[in-house]
Amino acid sequence: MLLIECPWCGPRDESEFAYGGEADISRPIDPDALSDAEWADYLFMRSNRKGENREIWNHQHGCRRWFVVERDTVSYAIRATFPMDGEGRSP
Amino acid sequence: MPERPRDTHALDAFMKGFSATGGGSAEARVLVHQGFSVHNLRLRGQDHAQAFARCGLPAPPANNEWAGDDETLYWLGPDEWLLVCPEGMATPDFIASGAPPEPMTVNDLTGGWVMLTLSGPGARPLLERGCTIDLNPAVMGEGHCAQTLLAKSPVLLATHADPERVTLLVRRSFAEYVALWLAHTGEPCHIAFAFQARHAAGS
Repeated sequence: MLLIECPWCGPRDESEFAYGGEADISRPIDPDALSDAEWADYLFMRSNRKGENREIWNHQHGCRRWFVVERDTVSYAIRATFPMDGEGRSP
Repeated sequence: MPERPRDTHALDAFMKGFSATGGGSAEARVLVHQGFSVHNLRLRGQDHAQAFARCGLPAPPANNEWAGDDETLYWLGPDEWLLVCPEGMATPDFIASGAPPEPMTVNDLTGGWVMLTLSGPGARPLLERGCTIDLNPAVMGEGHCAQTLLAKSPVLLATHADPERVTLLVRRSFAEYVALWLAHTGEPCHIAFAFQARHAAGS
């Protein structure tokens, strides 16, 4: 079980959280200008890296806020957590 | 269809069926509160303290804290609070008029919440059996609150100066399940349940 540090509530058990997938994926500003392939790439394709990842998590049963987690998918170690407004990016 | 009596409580059926009173040997007691109102406040903007003052509310409590006596504010999120006050108490004007000052939203959730107060030496050990957060009084001390899971049900826990007392706010639809879980898990400490007529100060 992971112990995840919510940026607002502090360390909480993984069971309170929901996983939201890869972080830093932004919706294209002008979707109409995209080809089907580009749109599918935005919608479905994820990098699925082994090792260090930036992910978004939701503290579903706590403050219900989305935030960014830097997690290693091999060791499951969590390096840092940040609020969504992107103030933090680990050094 | 007969009109539904106005003062039914989500735990009426449970309380009727719950026969064990525990008597004087109860190490954990549960008070089921009645007659209080619950409002959810959401505020956009940065200066929360000033906005609260303008609305005639007490100062917003810090992260994971609650404050107040009769009128209690619980922290729910960086821009979200829960205001609990006794029914009939003069609520701030903007709630009565239904017109929150911009950019605040106020939702009356009175019917959606059930409030319980657990007390006695068995209260915290009982909650620890179904809750993953650290309930040690050194961590969850006076004036702390936390939204978490109790026996998989979402709850809002609030702790008091008296470490043997914990307030539990539960969604109405989960209330019977949580009460049954408390009754079952609290059997060894002869848990006792009672209705409280009024929302008492600070609870």
